[in-house]
Amino acid sequence: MKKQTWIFAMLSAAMLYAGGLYAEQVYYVQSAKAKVLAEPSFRSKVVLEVVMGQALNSLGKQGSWMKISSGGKEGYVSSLLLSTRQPLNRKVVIQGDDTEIKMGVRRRASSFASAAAARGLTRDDRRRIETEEGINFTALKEVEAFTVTDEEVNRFINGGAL
Amino acid sequence: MRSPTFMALAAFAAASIAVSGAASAASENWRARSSAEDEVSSNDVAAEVAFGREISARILGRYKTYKDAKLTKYVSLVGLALTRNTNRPELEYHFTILDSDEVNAFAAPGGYVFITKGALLLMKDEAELAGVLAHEIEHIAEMHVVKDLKIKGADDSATSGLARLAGGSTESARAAFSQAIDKGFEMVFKDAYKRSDELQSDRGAVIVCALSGYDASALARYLARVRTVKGEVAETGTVTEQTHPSFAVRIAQINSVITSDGVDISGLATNQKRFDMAMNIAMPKGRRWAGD
Repeated sequence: MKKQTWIFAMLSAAMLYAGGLYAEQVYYVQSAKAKVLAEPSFRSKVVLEVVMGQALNSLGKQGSWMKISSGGKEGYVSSLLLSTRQPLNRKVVIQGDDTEIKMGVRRRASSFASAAAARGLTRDDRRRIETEEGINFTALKEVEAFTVTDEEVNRFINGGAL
Repeated sequence: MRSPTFMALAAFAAASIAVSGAASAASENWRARSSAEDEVSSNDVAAEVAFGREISARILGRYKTYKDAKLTKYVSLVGLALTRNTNRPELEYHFTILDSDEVNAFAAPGGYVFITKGALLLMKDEAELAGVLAHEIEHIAEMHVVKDLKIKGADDSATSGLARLAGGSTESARAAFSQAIDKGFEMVFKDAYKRSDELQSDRGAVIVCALSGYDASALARYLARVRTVKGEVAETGTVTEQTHPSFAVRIAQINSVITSDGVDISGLATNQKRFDMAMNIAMPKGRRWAGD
C-alpha cells in the first residue's frame, strides 16, 4: 500500500471514530406534548412545541434540561419528558386470578405443603388465605377497576386552568 | 395469558436473582440515573407491574381503602393530570386513598400510588396534593425500587428462565421472589428509599408540578406542615445513602430547584377552592388542618 493511501485510510478511520464519539444522541418525547424553550428556564419563551414520539437530537444536558435541535430550531426541554427509547405502548394490567393467592401460599417454605390444599379455592378460602398472608388482591382489583377517562382528565385540566 | 405472579417470577429467573439488596453504586447525580437513559422493554414493564401488584396487595392488606368514589376520583384526576408530564406513558396509574389518620403516602412500582386520609386532611390546596402525588409518581417513573432490586423482564426465548418457570418454578426461585417482594415492600412501606432517590423524587416533583401548571412550592409548604405535626427527621451519623433526608434538607432543595430552573410560582395554580370543595363534601368539617 502506498504511503499516501495508508495515511488517507488512517485519517478516514480516525474521523469515523471521532464522529461516532460525538454523534448526537437521539431522544424521544414521552409526554403528549412538550414545550421547547429558548433558555433552560420555565420563564423563557416557547420556541416550538413537540409531540409524543417525536425524535429530537440532543445537544447536551444543562441541569434538568436537555438542549435539543429539531427542524432547524434549537431549544431546551425538561429531560423528565424524554427518553432514549421510543414511547412504549401502555400495558394493560393482566387481571390476576387465584394464582396470586396460590403462589402467595406457596411463597414460604413453611407453607409449601398447603399448596395442594389451596387449589380450587372458595371465596371464603380466598379471604382466609389473604388475611393470613396479609395481602389483599380483592381490594387491589377494586383499585384497578376504578377508572377515569382521558376526556375527564382533559376537562379537569382545563377547569383548573392548568 | 400469563398471570402477574408468573411474570414476576419470570423476571427473577431471567434477571439475576440478585436479591442481595446490595444497592447499586451510590450516586448523588440523579440525572445519571434517570430512567430517560435506560433501556426498558415491554417485558420489563410487565415484570415491573406484576411486582408492583404484589407490593400493592400487601399495602392493601394493612390498610382499608377509603370508600368515597368522588374524592377518589378527584385525587385520581390530580394524579393523572400530573402523569401526562412524565416519561412513562406506558404505565397505567392508579390513585387510592387509604382509610388511615396517619400522614403518609406510598408508591408501588408499575403505577400504584396510595395516600392516607390523614395526609389529605393536613393539606391546604390542590397544589399541595399535586406535590405529594408528584413525589410518589417520580419514585415510580424513576424506577427506584425496580432498579435497586434489579427487577427486569425476560425474553421470550424457549431457553430462558421464563420458559422453565412455566412448568413449575423452583423452590429457590420462589424463595428469591419472596425475598424480593419482602424487600420491595419494606422499601415502599417503611419509606426506606435511598437518600439520593428521595431527593431525586422531590426534584422531579417540582419539575412535574411546574410542567403541569401547579404551584411548585406547594410541596415545601406541605412538608413544613408535616414537620410541625410529626417533628423533624433526625439525620443520624454521616450523610450516607441510608440516611433519610430531613425536612429542612428537602425544603431547601425544593426552593433551590425552583430558583435554578426559573419556576415562576406566582403564575401557577393552587386551586384551593376546588380542593376545599372536594374535601368538604367528603371529610367532616372541623377535622382538617386549621394551623398556619
